[in-house]
Amino acid sequence: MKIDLKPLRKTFFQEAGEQVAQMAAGLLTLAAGDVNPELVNALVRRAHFLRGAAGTFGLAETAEFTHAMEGLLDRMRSGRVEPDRTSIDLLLEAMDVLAALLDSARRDTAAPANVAAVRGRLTSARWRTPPDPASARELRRLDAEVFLQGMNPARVRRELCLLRRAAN
Amino acid sequence: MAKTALIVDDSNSIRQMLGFTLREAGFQVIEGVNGGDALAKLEGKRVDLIITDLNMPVMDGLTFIRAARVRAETKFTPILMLTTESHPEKRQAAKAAGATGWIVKPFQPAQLLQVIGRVLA
Repeated sequence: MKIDLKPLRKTFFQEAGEQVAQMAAGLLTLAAGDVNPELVNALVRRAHFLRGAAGTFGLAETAEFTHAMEGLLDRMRSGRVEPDRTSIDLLLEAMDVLAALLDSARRDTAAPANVAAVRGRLTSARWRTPPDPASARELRRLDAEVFLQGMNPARVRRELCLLRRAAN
Repeated sequence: MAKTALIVDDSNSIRQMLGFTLREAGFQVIEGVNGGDALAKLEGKRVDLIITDLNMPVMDGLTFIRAARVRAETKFTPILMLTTESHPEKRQAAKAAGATGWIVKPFQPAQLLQVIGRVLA
């Protein structure tokens, strides 16, 4: 049985519009410095809902974009991204793109040109942990030890790189 | 006689999409906007199938399933959990609560009907 969901999209666009408005309000609260976990949680939930619903209504590009937003918000929730000016500005920029994307989907016109670029920035946004002087000292001590014990420093370095990548 | 399905989701558009697909497949459809609302709608009724979302205000999907499983009328009714979570722990939690199966969003109407066909067989 072939079921055409296009006529049902109207309700989705209405709902998505409400979610976008709520998300924008939430991000502006974050931008004003009120970083509370429940707010970030609510933002993750809204992005999560939009991802699932957009995909269900056959709007793959919107689903992919909101997935990237959800990813960044989720990293913010778990402390891997700082809710600072840079990340909040990026999310606010993403909200504009999302609104334009939904609008183009509703009108059946071409998606905004910057969708892929902003999605890429959302996906790669990471909080670079400032180097901890104590751990740098510890690494140097370990370095000295491995030399004394005749281990292969290149191999240790490679494993450390893998660990760092896994931690990110 | 037409089979009856209860769909539980706080999203109007998802309820509409599920309802449309199920009606096209010949089901009678009852809707609930959260777990608590769904339990009220089940009062004195027998349904052949329940499809519920996971994250909902007032009463979430897991709590709703647990509550449905202690009622005689819905003790053995097939319950499908609708979720975007593909994490195995969420599926385990749904199973432990008493779900018969799950559908991961996004899904196509045809996939939905296929899963329903399987649990009602």
